[in-house]
Amino acid sequence: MKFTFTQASMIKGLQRIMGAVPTRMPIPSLGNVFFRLKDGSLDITATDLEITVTSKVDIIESDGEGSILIQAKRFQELVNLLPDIPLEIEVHEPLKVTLKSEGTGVYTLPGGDPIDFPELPPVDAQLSFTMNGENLSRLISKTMFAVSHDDMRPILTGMLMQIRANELRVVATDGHRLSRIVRKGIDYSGEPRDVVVPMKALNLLLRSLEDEDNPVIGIAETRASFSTEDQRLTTRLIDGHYPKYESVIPEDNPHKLVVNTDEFAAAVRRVSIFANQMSRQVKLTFDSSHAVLETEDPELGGRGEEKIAVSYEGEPLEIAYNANYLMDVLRQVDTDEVVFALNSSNDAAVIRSMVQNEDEDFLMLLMPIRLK
Amino acid sequence: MAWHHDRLQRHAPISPALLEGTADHAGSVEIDRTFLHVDMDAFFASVEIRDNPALEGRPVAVGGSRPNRGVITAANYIARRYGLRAGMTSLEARRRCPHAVFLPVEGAKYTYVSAQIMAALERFSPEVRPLSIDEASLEITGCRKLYGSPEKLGRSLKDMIRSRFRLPCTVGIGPNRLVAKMGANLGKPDGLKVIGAGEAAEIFAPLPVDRMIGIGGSTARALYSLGINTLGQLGAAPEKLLKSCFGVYGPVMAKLARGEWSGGMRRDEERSPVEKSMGHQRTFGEPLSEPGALRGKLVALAEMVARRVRRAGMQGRVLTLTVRYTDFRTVSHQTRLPEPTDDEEDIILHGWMLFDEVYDIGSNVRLLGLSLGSLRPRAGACPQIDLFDSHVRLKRRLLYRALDDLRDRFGERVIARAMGMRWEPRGRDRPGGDPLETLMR
Repeated sequence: MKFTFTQASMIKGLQRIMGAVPTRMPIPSLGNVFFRLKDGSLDITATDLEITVTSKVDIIESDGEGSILIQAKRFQELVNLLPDIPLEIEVHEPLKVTLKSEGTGVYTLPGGDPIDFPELPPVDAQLSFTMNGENLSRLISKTMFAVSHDDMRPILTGMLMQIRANELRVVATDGHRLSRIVRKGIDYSGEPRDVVVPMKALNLLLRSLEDEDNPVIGIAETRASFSTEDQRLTTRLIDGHYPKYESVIPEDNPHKLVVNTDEFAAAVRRVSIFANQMSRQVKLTFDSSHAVLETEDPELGGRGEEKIAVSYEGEPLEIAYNANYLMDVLRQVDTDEVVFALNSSNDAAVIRSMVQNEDEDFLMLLMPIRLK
Repeated sequence: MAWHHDRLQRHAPISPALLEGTADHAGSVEIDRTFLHVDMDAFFASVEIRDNPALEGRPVAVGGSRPNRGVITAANYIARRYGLRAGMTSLEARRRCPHAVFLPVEGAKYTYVSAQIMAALERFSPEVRPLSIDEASLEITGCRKLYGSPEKLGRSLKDMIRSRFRLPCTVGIGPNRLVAKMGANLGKPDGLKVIGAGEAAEIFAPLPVDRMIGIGGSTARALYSLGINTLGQLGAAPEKLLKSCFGVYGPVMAKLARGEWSGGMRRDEERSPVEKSMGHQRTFGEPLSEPGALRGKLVALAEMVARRVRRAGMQGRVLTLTVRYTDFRTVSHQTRLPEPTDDEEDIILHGWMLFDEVYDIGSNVRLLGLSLGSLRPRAGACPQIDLFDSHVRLKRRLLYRALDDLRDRFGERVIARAMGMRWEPRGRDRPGGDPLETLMR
């Protein structure tokens, strides 16, 4: 088999799939990219057994059909260094690959037997729906900061997707903060279904999804797939019970703080330089028109204090947060002003943008640090 | 009880980091201080003989009750005449003294007796430092008036231990902790040795260098090669020479030899906040390959590490697991915890995860070690409240407080997770664990 393609189209395809190539190789064949030429079209695939990504690569011309494994890292390195000109790959028996760049170079690569590459059965979707790429990207990017990295709580290392009639809710939490975004107007009318998708899969998806794509999301018993015209990502779902997050969202926190998002974030960032290295604690106190931010690092010495203008309705309150968490939250806010609904110094704050987008309900929770 | 720990991290027997530490004599006003060191004689063996008078007068070894496996952890003085020593393999011990009585190690019993003795010592001084299961250091500077001379105090302390616990011990008294401990070493067994303020150098001078605490075999050999054989020669050796051969530790050794310095015996509470890690390890008399048993051992190690970290008022974030196989292949793996912790449950779960990554299934394990690093004082870190299970953590914290309290009063292993205990064989050749390591100095 033989096919010709441009360097640019191959790079685009490789960028989509390379994230699935495992860094540590339990099975040597997983370090390869699986090439399949069929009906005059070329697919390339990489997998770490949990996540599999396939991308279509535009070809200029082809001869024959078949499949072959090519060492992922070396192939990508080579293609990256070549100029954007037509390249030709030819597979010789037995398992020898040559890549010719037009007119100049010839590279010979060892090929692998395609039989060694684990091919997972296609996702037999029990339910599916289509969603606009821009919207899906937004749901993922507004919640991913709250996903846990603690392998001891595997269920929290994924994102909860609650599929409802006409609605998709995406939730992430690490137990200290939570982000939930509800998107209305989803083209789905079937049974409700909750799935937890590994963060890595969504990260890869986010990287390659384009705004104008219209991915089809398919859910099977233990796997999910996200497919567009020229790529398909399938992933294992995380098994287990996601915590009942609804019950921890406070309904009516009495105290209301409104503050300029960027000014608040900038002040937190400055005082956080002097926050305790371990807790990252920044203490906030409010009166009706000001907030005072305080940090102190008894270990290395030094303290920070800033006073910023706010509008605060409620009883006097002293509350402390991890400065990093607070900055993460503020970064997600879409509007110039942000609203914090507060209860006591030991309860979750509910944080929203000043104005919600159409067809959307987006909120974040942030748990405080217990003050002595 | 302060177990003997951190062999993983320790390079010099007395850490050079202590040089700028809080050595006992570093106070601003120089007053004559007096310290007393109690060392129980052949502790495990003495406890066993006390509990079974039929053993009196016979050579007794604790540990090595199975001839082909394990090591002995203690030997009474009669057995020592045959050359038996703690740490000797069971096989070797039997070869040297076939008619000795070999007894199983009853760790919990010794821990219990030790805790009682430590509590009793508090009658003599408000300042008692347990240094290991069978020795303690007391400052008796302020108590001299009560008892007349230090010697009288030492005598009545020995009498108390003899009458209340029916156990022999040796007491050393000196102007600093190190000299007091050397006194106890020189006075053994069942002795009392008082070394006055100006006498230490003179008394140490004729001793070979390896009799000094903190000078081990390889350092001693290096000293011999320099022509330094006795502590007297070491104390008089030029500082430059020692510094060029042993670095900062060189001049420290000379001070030790002159009886001038005693920074080495401190407890965890006195560690500086920059201390890097706290850990425990356990060598198995009998190699283990059963994953359940190894996981159980990890539970016990995690409990000890967490306890120690809590006692020092710290929290740590980097967990390191060390596995040494019988062929001396040694692997260490590390993980960064999502949050700083002093919670044994976190340590157990992450320890197991590391174990699953590292362990070469079926291989025989000789040693397991766990240590928690990136330590920082807990005081500075207020707890981040959790959305879902804050109350669980809070409850656990209260539980640990209660457990720590029990352990303070009745000994380390008085209460522990069943999973960690299940694999501590009773009445058989029980791997000595920490008491063993403590004794094998």
